[in-house]
Amino acid sequence: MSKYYLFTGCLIPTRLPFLEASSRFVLDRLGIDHEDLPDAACCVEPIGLRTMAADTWLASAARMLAIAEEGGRDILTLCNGCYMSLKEASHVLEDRAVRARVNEVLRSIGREYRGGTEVRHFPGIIGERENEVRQAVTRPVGLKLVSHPGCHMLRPSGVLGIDRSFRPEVLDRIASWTGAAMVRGEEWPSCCGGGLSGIAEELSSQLLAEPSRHHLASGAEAILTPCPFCFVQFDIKQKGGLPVLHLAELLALAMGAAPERIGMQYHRNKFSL
Amino acid sequence: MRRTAADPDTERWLERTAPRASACQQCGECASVCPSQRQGGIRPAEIMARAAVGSLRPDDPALWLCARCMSCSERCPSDADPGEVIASLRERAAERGNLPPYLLDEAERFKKTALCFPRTGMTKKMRKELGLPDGEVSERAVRECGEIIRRTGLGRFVRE
Repeated sequence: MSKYYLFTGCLIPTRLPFLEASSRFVLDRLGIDHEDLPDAACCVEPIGLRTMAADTWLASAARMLAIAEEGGRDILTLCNGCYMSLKEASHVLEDRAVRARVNEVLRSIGREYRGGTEVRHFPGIIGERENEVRQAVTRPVGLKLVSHPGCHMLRPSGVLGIDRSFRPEVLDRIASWTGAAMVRGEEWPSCCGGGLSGIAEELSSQLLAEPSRHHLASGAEAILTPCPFCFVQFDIKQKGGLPVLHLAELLALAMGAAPERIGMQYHRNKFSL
Repeated sequence: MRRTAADPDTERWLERTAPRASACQQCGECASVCPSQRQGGIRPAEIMARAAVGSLRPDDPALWLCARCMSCSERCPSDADPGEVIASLRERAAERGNLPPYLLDEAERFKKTALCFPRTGMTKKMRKELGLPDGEVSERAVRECGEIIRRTGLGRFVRE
């Protein structure tokens, strides 16, 4: 099995460290070989920052791909945004001419990327480990959940390669291994509006209201997401909607983690387990 | 659609950065699936139409109302990639001073700390309570990112 450099990003380690705690708990329980990526920085946030300067995004992402390549490990992301940013960069950098141009920038910091790093996402590698997950579940979760994959677990599907945009199924499948009952999610999962937070607050809230209404009407007790941006929208910004559970939290709880050990008390939109 | 705002520079920029824009056939799939348009935000099909005739306005504030959900690009049957066309137009817009203050702050934070969200007292407190490593960004990472920013496009927007 592969060895990974864990890339926690910006939002999780600074504002949602409890999601980092639950992710680390799950990786340890599953015996997935991981170390922290040395000299990690922002992936170049793919919604705003990246669109200000594509070449900055590509060179900064290439810098981290180069660090991982040097250490002989693939990158494992915990955030949908980091996954999109690094995965798309590794895809674009398959083009030799582009890579040569980016390496000119990297040379100034004494680095080079030769194209050998895979970028994987937490739900992607978990989805490949049905037996290990089932064996690690010691306390099946009796919750009724509705999936909210988040845009950048899905799209662009040709590059991200985890699930499809129409009736996605990966999250439901993983959750079913923990004992959770899944109700039907949206056919084309809608955007949580997180990308407009801070830029156009009212529009962001209007976008959030769509999935929020769907999930509330679905009959589920909580929303399941693998994305920290969607998590913040549902946990803090949402008005009167269902509470939210991160995929790593669901797995950690099912694998016997004490709720306070993985920081469930930090949720703002509380729910009883 | 008004054609009064033609901007040849932006048209040439788009030819270089998003050449697939011209494959748009105005089928309207992007408009039908755009969550921002549904709430009165950006109108992707209109932007694609403008791109095709070179009638683009880099100062259009609607460019920043895209949430980058990428539904438009996923649904586009012509592979014209509206999501990336909009991203490319934003870069042009930012160059002309059309940039939300929130993103300028974010860019400056990235330059200063190599992160796009701030580490606060709460961050340190929670990490300690959860038994997590401090998670400070290394000086080397900040230095290397700063050098990359200086040598690439973001350097235009942030102070030295």
